[in-house]
Amino acid sequence: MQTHETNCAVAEQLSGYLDDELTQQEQQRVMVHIRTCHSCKALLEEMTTLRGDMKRAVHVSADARDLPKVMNDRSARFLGWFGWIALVLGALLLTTFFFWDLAVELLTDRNVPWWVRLGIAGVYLGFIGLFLMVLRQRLIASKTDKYKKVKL
Amino acid sequence: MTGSHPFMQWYGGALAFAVSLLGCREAAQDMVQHALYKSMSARRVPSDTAAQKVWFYKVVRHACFDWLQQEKRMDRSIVVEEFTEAFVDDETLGEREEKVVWVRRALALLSSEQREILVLREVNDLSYDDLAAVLQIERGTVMSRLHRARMALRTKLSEITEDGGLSNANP
Repeated sequence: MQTHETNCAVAEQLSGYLDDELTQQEQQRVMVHIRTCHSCKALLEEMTTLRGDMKRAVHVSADARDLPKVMNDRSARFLGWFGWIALVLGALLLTTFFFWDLAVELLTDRNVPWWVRLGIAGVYLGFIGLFLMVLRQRLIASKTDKYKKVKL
Repeated sequence: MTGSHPFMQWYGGALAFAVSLLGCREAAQDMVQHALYKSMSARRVPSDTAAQKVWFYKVVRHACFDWLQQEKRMDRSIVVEEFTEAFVDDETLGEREEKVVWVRRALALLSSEQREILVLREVNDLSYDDLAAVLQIERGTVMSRLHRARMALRTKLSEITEDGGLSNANP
């Protein structure tokens, strides 16, 4: 295999020229240079051949046996979604029931002093108030976010 | 065959890229599968195709590096024979065509840095901007690194050709 050596200043730009990644001015410069420089012209041709050889040598055929099964496993995806939804709904229902039951029991129990019941009511109302405040802020932020359409 | 998932169009290229980093087909398949799985479950995946491609190759690269770290192979060295056997030739290509084997062998003798940039450019056709994003280097560095890699591949290939395909020198 014959290799061509070149020490020209544009040697590195030959790669950029081959890949069509130079500015118009640089491209013109390289084009003019290779018209007169035989070693650079030969090197460019050699690099073009090498590219073709690389493509053939490193080509990986997407054999059906290689394709990831996870991509086509719809049942697993459906089961995954179903599992998550059921888990979240279940946890939500149980938590609501627990806090509701606790609140009813404490607030209606005559043995609990009035100031404790007042405190419990305050804590519950406080949590509801804070939740509504955060929810409102999030909603406003999502509506007025000027970077919303910026693609990452 | 690309399947229905949009990322499947880069499956072959990503597999070649992962093989170039790991030197082993089985591990490369696992890493690409991991990246595909991540593309389905990630919350913030870019919406346009060009950015998706860069994102996907980045995920594959990071997965490969994590695997190499787990395997305590941080020098990223590969076994030449294993690497040359990692590619499955389709039947239209003359099986074990001499030059194809020589190119694979020459590629295996390069440094990991040179192999990855060559495979990303020559096989996956990534632009210099995309290469800079995937490899996390400056755009200006891309051209010089790529040129050096091409020259190194050319040198290794000429050494192998002169030896009649027997050269097995370490990089």
